[in-house]
Amino acid sequence: MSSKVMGRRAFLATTSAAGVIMVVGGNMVIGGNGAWAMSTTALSGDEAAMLVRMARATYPHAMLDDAIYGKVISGLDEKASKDEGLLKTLKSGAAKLTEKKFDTLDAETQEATLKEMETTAEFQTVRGACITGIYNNQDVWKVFGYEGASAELGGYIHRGFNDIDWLKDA
Amino acid sequence: MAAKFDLNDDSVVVVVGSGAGGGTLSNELAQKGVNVVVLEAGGRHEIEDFVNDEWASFGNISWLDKRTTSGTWRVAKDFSGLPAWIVKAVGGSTVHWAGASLRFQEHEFKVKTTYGDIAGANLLDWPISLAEMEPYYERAEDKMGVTGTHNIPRLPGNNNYQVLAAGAKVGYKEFHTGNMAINSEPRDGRGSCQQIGFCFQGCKSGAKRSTLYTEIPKGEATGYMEVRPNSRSADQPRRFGKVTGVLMRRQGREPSR
Repeated sequence: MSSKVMGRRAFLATTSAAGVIMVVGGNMVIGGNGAWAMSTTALSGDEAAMLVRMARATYPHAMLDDAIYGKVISGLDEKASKDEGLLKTLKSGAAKLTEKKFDTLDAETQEATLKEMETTAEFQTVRGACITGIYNNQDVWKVFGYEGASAELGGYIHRGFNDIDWLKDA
Repeated sequence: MAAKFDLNDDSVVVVVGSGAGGGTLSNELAQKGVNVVVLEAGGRHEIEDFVNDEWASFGNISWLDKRTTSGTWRVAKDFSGLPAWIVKAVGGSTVHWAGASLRFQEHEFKVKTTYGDIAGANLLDWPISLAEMEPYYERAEDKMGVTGTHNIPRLPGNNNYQVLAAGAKVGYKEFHTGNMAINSEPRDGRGSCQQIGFCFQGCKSGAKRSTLYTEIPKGEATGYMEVRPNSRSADQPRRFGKVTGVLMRRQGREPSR
């Protein structure tokens, strides 16, 4: 491809809230330019950092902080401390990404790399955790502008369900 | 007060399922003084149990048994074991449905006549006509309180609707918020829609018609009807081709009649 059209994912990944993810002391992952950190129990810090990058590349949202993706991997790490099979899968996934130098790839190459492994347990495990881990996270709802539960507030009938005013002349 | 029948009572009518069909039929029988037992595989979750949270609600009232799926469709690949988002609970899918209550149109009763032979399809005309169905539609719409029928005003349009309606004005003569079994004003002892936005997770205001809080309590109030939640119909023994009973399986128990 000579003239590169920017794909949706590549576009989403631009001006990303993702800064550089660093690992210190073996099991401490720091991201978001220091605004977020997690410590691991089962995975090494490097492995967790790689999986955080995988989570973001799978569901790239520039407006989401690393903390959101970190929470997904942190949850998997905790589960893996009591589940050897899961730990093995996660470690294997991180190893594959490390081998491909995933953290140094641009967004499109990252996507292509994940596509190659999309049917594997390594990918599907992280992807599955992302679906609820990201989209059922109330912090994410706030970022996306989703107001959520409304029954206890009397619904939206008096709170703007039909409040647009830019159609008056239509 | 709800009736309570013996597990081996062979004089009662047994209805399997408490949703749109079963819930409605049982109430009609009870109103006529017929003893009826409703077997419902799922639990009984009343309005106060509903939660305005899609994922939590899924775990609360969906059909949680593992699904099997096959073929080439995407769901078979991505979520093959995920339970289906239909409701296994008292009220069945009337807890989850959107409330859209449309009549078939004349030509839809005659799809084969209307569209002719289409390669690869197996179209059939219905053996009934719209004219035959109209009296039943009338009754159903009245019972369910369908907007746009029986002088029931339609629901107000939300922002999405307003945008679509503005576009529709370009060429469409008729557009509205639909025929919905959702109260646009208080009716049948239930209040009007509060635009909560979680119709599918169970209507917290009860504005949307669901047998859970419409037909079923009405039937129970007659004293002729008993609803048995967590009771799956396991088998229907037959004798000379006629069903002679229903074996039900309650959670953790052996089948009983």
